[in-house]
Order: sequence, then structure tokens, then C-alpha cells
Amino acid sequence: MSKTITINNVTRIEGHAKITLHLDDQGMVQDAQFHVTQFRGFEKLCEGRPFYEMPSLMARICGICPVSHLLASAKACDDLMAVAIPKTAIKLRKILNMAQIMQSHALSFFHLSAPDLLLGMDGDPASRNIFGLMKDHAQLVQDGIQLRKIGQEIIALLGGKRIHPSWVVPGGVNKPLSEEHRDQILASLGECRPIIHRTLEIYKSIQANFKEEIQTFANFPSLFLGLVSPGGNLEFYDGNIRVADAARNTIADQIDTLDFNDYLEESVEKFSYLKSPYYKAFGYPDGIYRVGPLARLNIIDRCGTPQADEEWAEFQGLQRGAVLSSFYFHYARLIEVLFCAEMMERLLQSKDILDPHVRAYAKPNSFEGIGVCEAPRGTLMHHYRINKNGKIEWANLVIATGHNNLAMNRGVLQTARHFVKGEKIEEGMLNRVEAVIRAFDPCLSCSTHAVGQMPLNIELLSASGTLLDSVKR
Amino acid sequence: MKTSAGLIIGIGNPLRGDDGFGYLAAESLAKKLKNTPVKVVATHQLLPEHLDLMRKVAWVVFIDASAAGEAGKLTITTPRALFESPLAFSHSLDVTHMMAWCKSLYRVCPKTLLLSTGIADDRVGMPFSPGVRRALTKAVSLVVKLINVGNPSVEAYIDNLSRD
Repeated sequence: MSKTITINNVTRIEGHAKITLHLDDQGMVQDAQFHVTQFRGFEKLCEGRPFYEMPSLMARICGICPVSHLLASAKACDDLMAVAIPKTAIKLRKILNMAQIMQSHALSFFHLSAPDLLLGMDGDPASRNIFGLMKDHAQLVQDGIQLRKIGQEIIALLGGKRIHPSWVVPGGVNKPLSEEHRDQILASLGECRPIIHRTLEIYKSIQANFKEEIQTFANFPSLFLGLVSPGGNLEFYDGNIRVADAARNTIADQIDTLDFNDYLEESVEKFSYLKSPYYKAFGYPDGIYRVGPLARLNIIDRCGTPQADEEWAEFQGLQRGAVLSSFYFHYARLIEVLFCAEMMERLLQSKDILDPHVRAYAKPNSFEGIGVCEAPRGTLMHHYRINKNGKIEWANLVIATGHNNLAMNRGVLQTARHFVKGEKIEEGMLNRVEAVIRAFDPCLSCSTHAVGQMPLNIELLSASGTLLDSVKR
Repeated sequence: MKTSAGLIIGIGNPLRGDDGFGYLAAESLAKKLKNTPVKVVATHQLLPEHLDLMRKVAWVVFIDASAAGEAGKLTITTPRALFESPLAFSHSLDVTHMMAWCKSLYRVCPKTLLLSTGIADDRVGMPFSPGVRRALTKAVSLVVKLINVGNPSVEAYIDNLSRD
């Protein structure tokens, strides 16, 4: 008699989700599904609104990465106006984006995943959290708080406020950077590097303790997708799309972001509000691909800053070809934070960073606009169509977490097959199934534009559909 | 003026009627205390990052609305750190957890005062209820008086209140 296990709710992720594991007659995991059961529908509620409202409106999708939506939306509006925005505005937008990536990665690593990494996957769940870390790893917790604070403060200094800044507008940004704020940001960035190097050392010292997890946490061949600069460097704001395969062969390069629809298709599963994009040329579901820190570091030719490049060289040596295990998302996040600190410093020291010309003005010159940037969790696409009055008629958002949906589902299946045995849910098994999701750092409110709450729930069902066991959090 | 380095954190959502009590009180205090060594923060919710501010000051005043209590009645308390926390995550921190975090992480915790009021209406888009508006004025005056008069100092005031 086959059975089903449901994990309800998945904890320490941004948003709420449920996992269902289907067991066969022998009690082996046959199938797994990652359900995202929230729905918000931002694409619908923005219809009829003036296009210039989109950046502020779309930023409300998420409280963790509002800046990403702000930027992708503003870029789509730039495209509607058909303007080239001032170079200084591009640099300022880039700094804002990297500040957000820094704070978001810090949240993911220090607050959400470090308890598993430092207290162990089998640790007591009552103390396997940020509070539990304080006892023996106070410095790490302090570092996490400090790093996140620096990222948030840079956003506040540039954008005027920490969450939902309205500084980024169609055509550029609405205020130039002051000398005082530039100096404040540079001073705070000086504090970052020792924190990041300390954390990288800690991470590398414990990595060997997780051989089984590295082997089984969404460790399979897939495509990898993200933005790269024209020269193949790590790029979060501009650039074009590159797709690489599991052997790190580039299979599509320098795709204009405006043409992303020619390469990607979205499928819908009955069990989730989260869409499942795939690489069109390979079909569904063979066109499975991953985005985000792991993918970005797999597709680039180099990071483009000295210290991040040193770490990246080490990262590349982890596996032959592309680094396939999603456990290494954690490592990739830390390397990206280092890159952000270096690159922000470089941009802030550029001659024209205080230039007062930071905005281009125009009315709509096109009925269709696309904006793409890299969010902390991966590539983010906003696509709008407007009418002759500049009102939104149609919008489609392809969100980082959505790109990873097929991979997360396959990852849950792989992890569950390895760790789940029998009809009873053990704590260590439950946590590992959650931890593979956590490695992707999904943002479910972003991905489904969710309303309300959906805590994590794991259910174990028999072949006939009888509920055998259930765990709620 | 005798004012030690201190911190004021006003918590709330100004889009939700009376829930904006703390946030708007902090915004008002930020203007009034511009030339003092007091840092004022208006925030929608408490965050781990606020610990980095707490650990550097001698005292902190939290201002927040409360779902419990009489609407518009200003309550002044000296909360205690709650170490035995049921929290596993930092999405909803309260003052007592912040104090515990601060002590655990940095081995220090500033003397802490909490000004709060019960609420009548916290629905989205609602204005302040008259009672909470009065409480806000009262809370702002009290804090300004404490800081400007400075005798007793804010720390002494908190000490006295703790003894009571």
C-alpha cells in the first residue's frame, strides 16, 4: 500500500509552503511535490494603472527584495519610454541592487541556514535557530546582524528608506547621491570584508561535515541561466542572458533580455500556484534550469573583482564542469556578497558618481516594455503592455523562485528518496527535506504574489491516499 | 540640559489607524530631539539590526501600540528580558525578546522603558481614534520632558519606575 507524507509548513524560508511525499508499497519515496498555495495576482491588479506607477506598485510584492522588483519594473518602464538613462543613474541603481543582494544573502545565510550548518541537521529543532546559535557562535550572529544592517543602511541612504524606497523611477533615479552619503557608504563597506572573509572561513571549515547532503541536495545535471556582462563577468543589473549546461558549456549566449520570451516558456502545475518556467528549446520538463547564486557562478567567465575571483576559482574546483549540488548555493551566496562589497566600492569611487544628471524624461514611445535584472534569488523579469494612454493592459512577471521551481521539486524528491525511510517522519529527515528548499532561498510571496499565510506542512499518504502521518510547523 | 546617549524606537504601521502610534510618535520626536545625542528610529517592526543600536546606548525607550489595554490610555512600564523564548525566527520580535537578544549577544542591555497604549481601530486606512491621538501627544511630551529636563535623568527615571 503506497503512502504520502506531508510537510506542513516548510520553515525558515521566505513565505510558506507545503511538501507532499508519495511512498510506494515498499515505503520508498516515489514522488514529491513542493506546493506553493498562496495567491496574490499582482499581474492582474496592476491592469489599468498608469505605467509610471509600476515601480512603486511592484516593489510591494516583496518586503525582502523590493529593490529587485523596483529595478526590473523601472527598467521595463525605461523600455516603454525608449530612453537611455544617464550613466550615473545606472551606477546608482547597480549599487542599490547590490546593497539588497548583500542584505538578502546575509538573511538567508546567517538567519535561515546557519542554524542547520553550525548546529547540525539532526539538532534539537527547539534550539536549532538563530537563538540557539547565540550560545556558541555569538560572533557569527553579530556578523550576520552587522552585514544585513550595512546592506539595509545603504538602501536607506540611497533610496530614502529601508523598505520600498521610491527613489528609482522610470528614466533613472529621482535624486543624485550626495558626497556625505557616498562617504558614509564607503565607510560602512570597509567593515564588510573582514566579516565576509571570517564567514567564508567558517563555512569552508564545516563543508566537509555535509558530504551526504552535498551528494543529495538537488545535485543533478540541469541548465543554469543568468545575466552576464558582454565580457562574461558577473552582472546583476545590466548585461545579457547566458545559458550553460551541466558541463559548463555555454549553449546560448548574450541573449538580449528583451528576447527572453523566445527562449523561455512557463508551464503550470495543478498542485501549486508557482509557475514552472523551462528552457523552450529543450521542452518540458527537460528544459529544467536553475537561477540564482549557484547558477550565476556557473555561467560566468569571472566575477570581475580580485577577492571574489580568488574565491570563485576555489568554488569552480568543487566539481568538474558546473557545480551541480544545490548545497553550494550557500557558498555561492557568500562569494557574491564579497563581490558586491568590492564592486560597490569601485562604483562609488568612480568620477561621475556624484553627477547631478540622474534622470531622463520622456512619455511612452513604445506599447511594450521588458525589464530584467538579477534579484538575490535569480533572474527577475517584468514584462508590460500599455495602451495609448499609458495605462497597463497586461503584465507578466517571471520571478527567480519560479525559475527554480522544477529544480526544487526534483531536489525535494532526490533528498527525500535518500533520507526518508518508512512510514514515520523523523526530525532529521524532515529538516533535510526542508533544508534543500532552504538552499534555494525561495521567496514565495514574490513568486506567487501571495496573500495570507501558508505555514509548512508535511504529509505522509498511503498508496490509497490515506493520511498516515503529518507534521505541521 | 543633561542628556545621555539614548535611543527611541517607535514601532507601528501608520497606514493602519491606531497601530501607527509608535511610528508617528517617533517621527515627531525625531524633529523635536534633532540637536540631542538621542537617536530616534521609526520602524514598522523590530528587527535584529536594531540590536546594534541598542548595545551602544545607556537607555532605550520603545513606543508601541498594544492590542490589549484601554484605547488611548498611556501605559509606562519597564519590561524585563525574556530569555526563555518560544521564538524560532525573527519575523515578529517584541521588546522583551530584543532585550534578551541584546544581553545574550553583546552582554549588555540598556535600561529600557516601554510606552504603550491600547487601540480602538487598526484597520487599513483608518485615522487615529481621538483617545490614541491624545495618548500620542502625551507620550511625545513625556519623552521630551524626560530628556530636556534630565533631572532625574532617563536612567534614573527608569530605575525609579522599576522599583515601583
